[in-house]
Amino acid sequence: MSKGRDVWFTLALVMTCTTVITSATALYYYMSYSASEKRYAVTLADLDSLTFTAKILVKYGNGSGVWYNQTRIPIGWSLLQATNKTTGGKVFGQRYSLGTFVTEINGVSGNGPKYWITYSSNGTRWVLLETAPEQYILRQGEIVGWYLTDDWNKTP
Amino acid sequence: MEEAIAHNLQHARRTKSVALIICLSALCIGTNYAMMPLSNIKLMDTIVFTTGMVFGFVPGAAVAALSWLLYGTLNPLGFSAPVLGIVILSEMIYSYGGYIIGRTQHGGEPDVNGGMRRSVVLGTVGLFCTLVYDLLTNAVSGLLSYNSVWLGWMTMNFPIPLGIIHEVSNLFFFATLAPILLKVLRKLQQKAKQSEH
Repeated sequence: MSKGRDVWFTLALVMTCTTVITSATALYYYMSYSASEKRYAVTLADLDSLTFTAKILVKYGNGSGVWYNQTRIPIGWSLLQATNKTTGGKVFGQRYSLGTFVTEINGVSGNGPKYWITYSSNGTRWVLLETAPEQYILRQGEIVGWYLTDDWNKTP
Repeated sequence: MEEAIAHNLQHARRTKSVALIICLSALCIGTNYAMMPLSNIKLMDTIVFTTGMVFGFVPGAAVAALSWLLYGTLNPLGFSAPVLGIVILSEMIYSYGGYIIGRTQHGGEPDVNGGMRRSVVLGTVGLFCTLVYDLLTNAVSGLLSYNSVWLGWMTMNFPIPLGIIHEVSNLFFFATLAPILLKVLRKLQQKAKQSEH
């Protein structure tokens, strides 16, 4: 065998080995990925039977705001608990006999003349919530909002 | 008188063959037990391959059968007669592979620059022999365990990539250890021939 052919022959064998090994590895990773995807779907289904997801809007009154979509909460949690969890504990307020009066969310205070008002939406229209935030229990897929305003007739 | 000498010579050759098969089988079994914690990484395939390459298919197959009969029976992972049967037959692939390669230009001692090429050839043959071995044994164990060849092949590399580990380790051993083992076995063969004269 000439030297040129020798090199090509060796190279071809190396490439063949590499192809076999990488194909097997790719197959292994594909199967691992498929199994992980299945496990994720099963876990998510299990989680859905134990938790709710809700959408929470925090609107600051100056036109800016932030949506917390797909906030996953345990069944039975209130709007206050859900907001506190989703903002990372950035909800502050004062507790009264009628309920908690929220004075600050995400570092933005609402101690007058603007206050943090709560709303619920059916997808097309916002409705003022007339319950204290810790007494309002969220349902599956519910859309709720916090709006910093001095006009109770305004909606987010 | 001449007949008696020829008979004795043949008898001596057979005894040497049996001794060699037993020694190499012992090496296979010993390394198999020693490498037990390393799943699917074994020197046995390389030993069987080189035996087939130097001494021919039958001695290599005998080493494969004898090693598996002992290692497969006294195995901490368990014993299964049908699986043992198929691994013995599949292990003979290495001996056959060695026998075939031994009869090509890659079977002899390489020239000064041919060592690397021969390592690549041996590694490639080792990889493909291992692939065939894995496909065969997993197909049969799939049939026995799940009644499906496909499921057997699926479990070859999943959830643990045992097939890939087996193939890559054999590629490495065939490319690096097989040439050394070949040299040793050839020296043994030459010494045996010299002692006959």
